Amino acid sequence: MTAVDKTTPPTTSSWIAPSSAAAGSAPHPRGRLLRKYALLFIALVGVALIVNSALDFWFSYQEHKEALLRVQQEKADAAARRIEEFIDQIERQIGWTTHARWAAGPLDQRRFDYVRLLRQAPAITELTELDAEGKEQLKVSRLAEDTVASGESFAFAPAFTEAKAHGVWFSPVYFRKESEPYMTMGMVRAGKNAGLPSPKSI
Amino acid sequence: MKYIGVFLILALCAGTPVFAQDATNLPLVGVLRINTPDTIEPMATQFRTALAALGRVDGRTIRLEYRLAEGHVERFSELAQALVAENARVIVALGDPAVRAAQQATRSIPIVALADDLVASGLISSLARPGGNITGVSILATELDAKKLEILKQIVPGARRFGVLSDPANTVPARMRAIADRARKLGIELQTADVRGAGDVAPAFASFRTGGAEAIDILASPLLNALRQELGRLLLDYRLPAICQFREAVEVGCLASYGVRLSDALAMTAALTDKMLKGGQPGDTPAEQPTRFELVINQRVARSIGIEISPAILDGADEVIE
Repeated sequence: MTAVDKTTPPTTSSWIAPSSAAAGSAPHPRGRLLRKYALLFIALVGVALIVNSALDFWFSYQEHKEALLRVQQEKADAAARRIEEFIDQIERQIGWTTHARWAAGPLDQRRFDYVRLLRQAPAITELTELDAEGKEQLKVSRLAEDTVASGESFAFAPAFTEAKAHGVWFSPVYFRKESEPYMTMGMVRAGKNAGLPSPKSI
Repeated sequence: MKYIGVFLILALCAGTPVFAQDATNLPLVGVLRINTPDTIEPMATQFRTALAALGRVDGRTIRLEYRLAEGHVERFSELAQALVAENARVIVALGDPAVRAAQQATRSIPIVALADDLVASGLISSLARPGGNITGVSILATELDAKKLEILKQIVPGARRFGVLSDPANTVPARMRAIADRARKLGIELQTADVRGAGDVAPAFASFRTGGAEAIDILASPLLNALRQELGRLLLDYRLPAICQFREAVEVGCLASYGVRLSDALAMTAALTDKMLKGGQPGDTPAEQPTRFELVINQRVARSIGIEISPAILDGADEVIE
């Protein structure tokens, strides 16, 4: 029996162990609940914070984007205004040179008027005068050859047809030798037509 | 407080050698030119000023060094190789022979070229995409040399025989063809004389006298620009009206000049140099062309060689030197 007795304690202890574990788990349901609540609370707060920050981020991104767009728009408007003023100025300068009585003047006089215009308006690279049929009468250029009454026909060129129909015509900007931007401008003023570069520096 | 004074003195003492060491480590911008040391102005100052305006101050943020071939194109190769050996950050090359030498010396260091016609000379494939390790400023010499002949004919309408002073190292066949075409249209005869160095100038003028040239078109070339003092003196001696590339030549005896402003071209070259120093890719950086051209006439020269210039021409000039 003693042997049994001797052997019982471990058995008892093996019983005690789970019972002591059961005794230890007495506050367990409350702790777990607390942890659950804490986790739930943290999760809720976390989600709320993330959503809030995401919304914040989204709105500030939108605002920032709009502000940037506004700034870009303003810059583009300002540049467009400057280009418009620049083109208007050139149009006026050509207008002054080619006033109504001017066409009746001798060719040499007109030529020197053109040369003077080139001096006053550095942005103009070339001026071509066409007659009512679109034939070239006079060309004064900073780079190419000056020609008198070459007779070359521009009758179907938009600079002639569009300018005849609407008074003034501006070509799209193109690149000379793929480098500097240029633009051709057609103007009806006693049958004139002017080619000029676009405002590169603006 | 007394420690602050001691600290300041120590800082000053320590700062001086550090600064001196930095100056030698500044990025090197090497400029290849045909000139001799006494003819590098006013271009040298204009280029230095243009770079300084962009924050690239010689001796403070960059080391700007001129390597001069002194009239001998064959020296460019050695000068370019020396710049490569010194690990130059950018090579600025003026004129076709300088650009070619730089291209042969390096395929990696960015080259900023300032030349008469970069595309016609075959130095770059196109202005929009130069390709390789080169970009630069092309000053439209092909068009302008022919235009100069036309303007000279307007200045001296009675002249029939025109001399053309050319630097073969810079004048590609396309340019000579453009000039010959224009001469045909203007109904004038041309007599060409080549200048490869200072020694060729006097014989060229002698040949013009023998040939009966009445006016001279001095073609665009860094060499002929460098020799402008000598050319101006001979033009006055021979009483010949001439048209040159830049205003600077008009100040020393050339009757007129027509073309781009040197200061504009140098400002554009400086801007491209700045881009290259910032790490720009030369092959993808479009080469540029000036858009402003000026006609300058020297009335003093006109009077001293007995030429009367019509008021219409003077009226069209951007500047008349009285």
